[in-house]
Amino acid sequence: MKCDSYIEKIFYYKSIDSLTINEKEHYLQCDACREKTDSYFSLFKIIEKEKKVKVNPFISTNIIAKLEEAPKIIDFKKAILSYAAVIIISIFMGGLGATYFANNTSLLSDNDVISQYFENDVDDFYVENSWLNMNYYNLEN
Amino acid sequence: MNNNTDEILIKKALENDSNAFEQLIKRYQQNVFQICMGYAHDADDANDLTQEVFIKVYKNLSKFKFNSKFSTWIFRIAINSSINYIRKEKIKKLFVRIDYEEVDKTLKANTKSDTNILRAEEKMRVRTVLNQLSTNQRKAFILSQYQDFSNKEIAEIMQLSVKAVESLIFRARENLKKIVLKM
Repeated sequence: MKCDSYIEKIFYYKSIDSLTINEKEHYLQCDACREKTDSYFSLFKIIEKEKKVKVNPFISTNIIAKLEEAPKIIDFKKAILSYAAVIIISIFMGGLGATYFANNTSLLSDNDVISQYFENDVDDFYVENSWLNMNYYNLEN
Repeated sequence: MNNNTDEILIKKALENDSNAFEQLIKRYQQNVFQICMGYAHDADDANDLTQEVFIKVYKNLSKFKFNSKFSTWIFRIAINSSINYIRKEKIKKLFVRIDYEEVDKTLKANTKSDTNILRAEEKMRVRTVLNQLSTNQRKAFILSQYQDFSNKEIAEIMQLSVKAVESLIFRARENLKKIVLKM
Protein backbone atom coordinates (compact mmCIF):
# COMPACT_ATOMS: atom_id res chain seq x y z
CA MET A 1 0.00 0.00 0.00
CA LYS A 2 1.27 3.48 -0.91
CA CYS A 3 1.52 6.23 1.70
CA ASP A 4 -0.72 8.69 -0.21
CA SER A 5 -3.65 6.33 -0.54
CA TYR A 6 -3.22 5.21 3.08
CA ILE A 7 -3.24 8.81 4.39
CA GLU A 8 -6.26 9.65 2.22
CA LYS A 9 -8.23 6.83 3.86
CA ILE A 10 -7.34 7.16 7.51
CA PHE A 11 -8.84 10.64 7.75
CA TYR A 12 -12.30 9.13 7.44
CA TYR A 13 -11.79 6.95 10.53
CA LYS A 14 -11.87 7.79 14.21
CA SER A 15 -9.63 5.06 15.63
CA ILE A 16 -7.04 2.46 14.72
CA ASP A 17 -9.68 -0.25 15.13
CA SER A 18 -11.33 0.97 11.93
CA LEU A 19 -8.24 0.22 9.76
CA THR A 20 -8.44 -2.64 7.27
CA ILE A 21 -5.83 -5.45 7.30
CA ASN A 22 -3.82 -3.80 4.50
CA GLU A 23 -3.95 -0.43 6.20
CA LYS A 24 -2.88 -1.95 9.51
CA GLU A 25 0.08 -3.60 7.79
CA HIS A 26 1.11 -0.27 6.29
CA TYR A 27 0.63 1.40 9.69
CA LEU A 28 3.05 -1.05 11.30
CA GLN A 29 5.63 -0.84 8.51
CA CYS A 30 5.77 2.92 7.74
CA ASP A 31 7.08 5.11 10.57
CA ALA A 32 6.04 8.42 8.97
CA CYS A 33 2.48 7.24 8.35
CA ARG A 34 2.26 5.75 11.84
CA GLU A 35 3.25 9.09 13.34
CA LYS A 36 0.62 10.93 11.30
CA THR A 37 -2.02 8.33 12.11
CA ASP A 38 -1.29 8.46 15.85
CA SER A 39 -1.31 12.24 15.81
CA TYR A 40 -4.67 12.32 14.04
CA PHE A 41 -6.33 9.64 16.14
CA SER A 42 -5.03 11.17 19.36
CA LEU A 43 -7.25 14.13 18.64
CA PHE A 44 -10.31 11.88 18.73
CA LYS A 45 -8.99 10.18 21.85
CA ILE A 46 -8.89 13.57 23.59
CA ILE A 47 -12.40 14.31 22.37
CA GLU A 48 -13.62 10.93 23.66
CA LYS A 49 -12.00 11.70 27.02
CA GLU A 50 -13.66 15.10 27.16
CA LYS A 51 -17.01 13.56 26.27
CA LYS A 52 -16.81 11.30 29.30
CA VAL A 53 -16.49 14.21 31.74
CA LYS A 54 -19.72 14.56 33.70
CA VAL A 55 -21.41 17.81 34.53
CA ASN A 56 -21.36 18.99 38.15
CA PRO A 57 -24.20 16.95 39.75
CA PHE A 58 -25.31 19.98 41.80
CA ILE A 59 -25.53 22.30 38.84
CA SER A 60 -29.34 22.36 38.74
CA THR A 61 -29.53 23.22 42.45
CA ASN A 62 -26.90 25.95 41.95
CA ILE A 63 -28.78 27.45 39.01
CA ILE A 64 -32.13 27.47 40.85
CA ALA A 65 -30.46 29.07 43.90
CA LYS A 66 -28.89 31.74 41.66
CA LEU A 67 -32.20 32.45 39.97
CA GLU A 68 -33.98 32.76 43.30
CA GLU A 69 -31.27 35.12 44.61
CA ALA A 70 -31.40 37.34 41.53
CA PRO A 71 -33.83 40.26 41.55
CA LYS A 72 -37.00 39.73 39.56
CA ILE A 73 -36.51 40.27 35.87
CA ILE A 74 -37.86 43.60 34.69
CA ASP A 75 -40.13 43.21 31.70
CA PHE A 76 -39.24 46.39 29.83
CA LYS A 77 -42.29 46.20 27.58
CA LYS A 78 -44.60 46.06 30.59
CA ALA A 79 -42.66 48.80 32.40
CA ILE A 80 -42.83 51.16 29.40
CA LEU A 81 -46.55 50.46 28.90
CA SER A 82 -47.33 51.09 32.56
CA TYR A 83 -45.35 54.38 32.55
CA ALA A 84 -47.17 55.47 29.39
CA ALA A 85 -50.52 54.59 30.96
CA VAL A 86 -49.70 56.68 34.06
CA ILE A 87 -48.69 59.68 31.90
CA ILE A 88 -51.85 59.43 29.73
CA ILE A 89 -54.10 59.13 32.81
CA SER A 90 -52.36 62.15 34.42
CA ILE A 91 -52.83 64.30 31.29
CA PHE A 92 -56.48 63.24 31.02
CA MET A 93 -57.15 63.96 34.70
CA GLY A 94 -55.44 67.36 34.37
CA GLY A 95 -57.63 68.29 31.39
CA LEU A 96 -60.73 67.08 33.17
CA GLY A 97 -59.87 69.10 36.28
CA ALA A 98 -59.18 72.26 34.25
CA THR A 99 -62.53 71.97 32.44
CA TYR A 100 -64.34 71.47 35.74
CA PHE A 101 -62.78 74.53 37.37
CA ALA A 102 -63.35 76.68 34.28
CA ASN A 103 -67.06 75.88 34.36
CA ASN A 104 -67.65 76.00 38.09
CA THR A 105 -65.57 78.92 39.44
CA SER A 106 -67.17 82.43 39.61
CA LEU A 107 -64.23 84.68 38.85
CA LEU A 108 -64.49 88.48 38.67
CA SER A 109 -64.85 89.29 35.00
CA ASP A 110 -62.65 91.95 33.28
CA ASN A 111 -65.68 94.22 32.87
CA ASP A 112 -66.29 94.24 36.59
CA VAL A 113 -62.73 95.36 37.32
CA ILE A 114 -62.72 98.07 34.65
CA SER A 115 -66.09 99.42 35.77
CA GLN A 116 -64.59 100.13 39.17
CA TYR A 117 -62.17 102.57 37.52
CA PHE A 118 -64.33 104.20 34.95
CA GLU A 119 -67.65 104.21 36.63
CA ASN A 120 -66.34 105.79 39.77
CA ASP A 121 -68.32 108.99 40.29
CA VAL A 122 -66.87 110.08 43.61
CA ASP A 123 -64.34 112.91 43.25
CA ASP A 124 -60.88 112.34 44.72
CA PHE A 125 -61.58 108.74 45.16
CA TYR A 126 -59.38 106.26 43.48
CA VAL A 127 -60.14 102.69 43.54
CA GLU A 128 -56.46 101.94 44.21
CA ASN A 129 -56.78 103.70 47.54
CA SER A 130 -59.61 101.47 48.38
CA TRP A 131 -57.56 98.44 47.52
CA LEU A 132 -54.40 99.61 49.22
CA ASN A 133 -55.91 101.14 52.25
CA MET A 134 -59.39 100.04 53.06
CA ASN A 135 -59.69 102.67 55.82
CA TYR A 136 -59.07 105.62 53.51
CA TYR A 137 -62.67 105.82 52.38
CA ASN A 138 -63.97 105.61 55.95
CA LEU A 139 -61.57 108.30 57.28
CA GLU A 140 -62.52 110.75 54.56
CA ASN A 141 -66.12 110.38 55.39
CA MET B 1 -42.98 15.35 36.93
CA ASN B 2 -40.26 13.31 35.18
CA ASN B 3 -42.68 12.16 32.50
CA ASN B 4 -43.91 15.64 31.69
CA THR B 5 -43.19 16.89 28.19
CA ASP B 6 -40.94 19.89 27.65
CA GLU B 7 -43.99 21.95 26.75
CA ILE B 8 -45.74 21.24 30.08
CA LEU B 9 -42.55 21.93 32.03
CA ILE B 10 -41.97 25.21 30.17
CA LYS B 11 -45.53 26.37 30.89
CA LYS B 12 -45.11 25.48 34.57
CA ALA B 13 -41.72 27.21 34.70
CA LEU B 14 -43.29 30.33 33.22
CA GLU B 15 -45.74 30.26 36.13
CA ASN B 16 -42.71 30.45 38.45
CA ASP B 17 -42.62 26.71 39.23
CA SER B 18 -38.91 26.28 40.01
CA ASN B 19 -39.27 22.48 40.24
CA ALA B 20 -40.40 22.39 36.62
CA PHE B 21 -37.40 24.45 35.51
CA GLU B 22 -35.09 22.22 37.55
CA GLN B 23 -36.48 19.23 35.66
CA LEU B 24 -35.72 20.94 32.37
CA ILE B 25 -32.16 21.63 33.55
CA LYS B 26 -31.67 18.00 34.58
CA ARG B 27 -32.98 16.83 31.22
CA TYR B 28 -30.48 18.85 29.16
CA GLN B 29 -27.56 19.64 31.51
CA GLN B 30 -25.23 16.91 30.21
CA ASN B 31 -25.82 17.78 26.54
CA VAL B 32 -25.29 21.48 27.19
CA PHE B 33 -22.19 20.71 29.25
CA GLN B 34 -20.70 18.62 26.42
CA ILE B 35 -21.26 21.39 23.87
CA CYS B 36 -19.57 23.84 26.25
CA MET B 37 -16.75 21.34 26.79
CA GLY B 38 -16.26 21.22 23.01
CA TYR B 39 -15.39 24.91 23.10
CA ALA B 40 -13.83 25.38 26.54
CA HIS B 41 -11.95 22.03 26.92
CA ASP B 42 -12.00 22.60 30.67
CA ALA B 43 -14.54 21.11 33.09
CA ASP B 44 -14.69 24.15 35.40
CA ASP B 45 -15.18 26.59 32.54
CA ALA B 46 -17.73 24.27 30.93
CA ASN B 47 -19.68 24.07 34.22
CA ASP B 48 -19.70 27.88 34.49
CA LEU B 49 -20.81 28.15 30.89
CA THR B 50 -23.58 25.58 31.45
CA GLN B 51 -24.89 27.67 34.35
CA GLU B 52 -24.77 30.78 32.20
CA VAL B 53 -26.69 29.00 29.44
CA PHE B 54 -29.53 27.89 31.72
CA ILE B 55 -29.82 31.35 33.29
CA LYS B 56 -30.14 32.79 29.76
CA VAL B 57 -32.72 30.11 28.95
CA TYR B 58 -34.75 31.05 32.04
CA LYS B 59 -34.60 34.78 31.28
CA ASN B 60 -35.75 34.23 27.69
CA LEU B 61 -38.21 31.41 28.31
CA SER B 62 -41.21 33.63 27.55
CA LYS B 63 -39.70 34.30 24.10
CA PHE B 64 -39.68 30.60 23.19
CA LYS B 65 -42.63 30.20 20.80
CA PHE B 66 -42.55 26.40 20.29
CA ASN B 67 -41.67 26.89 16.61
CA SER B 68 -38.78 24.47 17.05
CA LYS B 69 -37.86 21.75 19.53
CA PHE B 70 -36.93 23.11 22.96
CA SER B 71 -33.69 21.09 22.87
CA THR B 72 -32.72 22.70 19.54
CA TRP B 73 -33.33 26.15 21.04
CA ILE B 74 -31.24 25.37 24.16
CA PHE B 75 -28.38 23.95 22.07
CA ARG B 76 -28.35 27.09 19.92
CA ILE B 77 -28.04 29.20 23.08
CA ALA B 78 -25.25 26.90 24.31
CA ILE B 79 -23.30 27.29 21.05
CA ASN B 80 -23.69 31.07 20.97
CA SER B 81 -22.71 31.41 24.63
CA SER B 82 -19.65 29.22 24.04
CA ILE B 83 -18.58 31.27 21.01
CA ASN B 84 -18.94 34.45 23.09
CA TYR B 85 -16.88 32.83 25.83
CA ILE B 86 -14.09 32.02 23.35
CA ARG B 87 -14.14 35.61 22.07
CA LYS B 88 -13.97 36.99 25.62
CA GLU B 89 -11.08 34.64 26.39
CA LYS B 90 -9.18 35.87 23.32
CA ILE B 91 -9.73 39.51 24.31
CA LYS B 92 -8.72 38.75 27.91
CA LYS B 93 -5.47 37.21 26.66
CA LEU B 94 -4.72 40.33 24.64
CA PHE B 95 -5.06 42.61 27.64
CA VAL B 96 -3.79 40.45 30.45
CA ARG B 97 -0.51 41.56 32.01
CA ILE B 98 1.91 38.69 32.22
CA ASP B 99 3.05 38.25 35.77
CA TYR B 100 6.23 36.23 35.21
CA GLU B 101 6.66 35.35 38.88
CA GLU B 102 3.14 33.97 38.97
CA VAL B 103 3.73 31.99 35.78
CA ASP B 104 6.92 30.55 37.26
CA LYS B 105 5.10 29.53 40.44
CA THR B 106 2.29 27.91 38.45
CA LEU B 107 4.75 26.03 36.27
CA LYS B 108 6.61 24.75 39.33
CA ALA B 109 3.34 23.68 40.94
CA ASN B 110 2.20 21.99 37.75
CA THR B 111 5.43 20.08 37.19
CA LYS B 112 4.67 18.23 40.41
CA SER B 113 1.84 16.53 38.68
CA ASP B 114 2.50 14.79 35.37
CA THR B 115 -1.19 14.30 34.72
CA ASN B 116 -1.71 18.06 34.91
CA ILE B 117 0.92 18.61 32.23
CA LEU B 118 -0.54 15.92 30.03
CA ARG B 119 -4.01 17.33 30.48
CA ALA B 120 -2.83 20.86 29.72
CA GLU B 121 -0.99 19.64 26.61
CA GLU B 122 -4.05 17.76 25.38
CA LYS B 123 -6.22 20.79 26.01
CA MET B 124 -3.82 23.01 24.11
CA ARG B 125 -3.57 20.56 21.23
CA VAL B 126 -7.29 20.08 20.69
CA ARG B 127 -7.88 23.81 21.15
CA THR B 128 -5.16 24.71 18.63
CA VAL B 129 -6.53 22.30 16.06
CA LEU B 130 -10.21 23.23 16.46
CA ASN B 131 -9.43 26.97 16.56
CA GLN B 132 -8.20 26.71 13.00
CA LEU B 133 -11.59 25.64 11.72
CA SER B 134 -14.12 28.23 10.58
CA THR B 135 -16.95 29.07 13.03
CA ASN B 136 -19.51 26.97 11.18
CA GLN B 137 -17.15 24.06 10.54
CA ARG B 138 -16.31 24.05 14.23
CA LYS B 139 -19.99 24.17 15.25
CA ALA B 140 -20.83 21.24 12.98
CA PHE B 141 -17.76 19.27 14.04
CA ILE B 142 -18.40 19.77 17.79
CA LEU B 143 -22.06 18.80 17.45
CA SER B 144 -21.16 15.67 15.50
CA GLN B 145 -18.19 14.62 17.67
CA TYR B 146 -19.17 15.72 21.17
CA GLN B 147 -22.88 15.04 20.86
CA ASP B 148 -22.99 12.32 18.22
CA PHE B 149 -25.86 14.18 16.59
CA SER B 150 -27.03 13.14 13.14
CA ASN B 151 -26.57 15.56 10.25
CA LYS B 152 -30.33 16.19 10.33
CA GLU B 153 -30.22 17.22 14.00
CA ILE B 154 -27.19 19.44 13.37
CA ALA B 155 -28.99 21.01 10.41
CA GLU B 156 -31.96 21.85 12.68
CA ILE B 157 -29.74 23.41 15.34
CA MET B 158 -27.66 25.37 12.85
CA GLN B 159 -30.70 26.25 10.74
CA LEU B 160 -29.03 24.93 7.60
CA SER B 161 -29.84 22.24 5.04
CA VAL B 162 -28.59 18.68 5.62
CA LYS B 163 -26.42 19.02 2.49
CA ALA B 164 -24.79 22.14 3.90
CA VAL B 165 -24.01 20.32 7.16
CA GLU B 166 -22.55 17.35 5.28
CA SER B 167 -20.34 19.74 3.35
CA LEU B 168 -19.26 21.56 6.55
CA ILE B 169 -18.28 18.31 8.28
CA PHE B 170 -16.44 17.12 5.17
CA ARG B 171 -14.50 20.38 4.93
CA ALA B 172 -13.81 20.31 8.67
CA ARG B 173 -12.24 16.85 8.29
CA GLU B 174 -10.24 17.98 5.25
CA ASN B 175 -8.92 20.93 7.23
CA LEU B 176 -8.11 18.73 10.22
CA LYS B 177 -6.14 16.50 7.87
CA LYS B 178 -4.11 19.48 6.62
CA ILE B 179 -3.53 20.76 10.17
CA VAL B 180 -2.43 17.37 11.50
CA LEU B 181 -0.13 16.76 8.52
CA LYS B 182 1.52 20.14 9.11
CA MET B 183 2.08 19.45 12.84
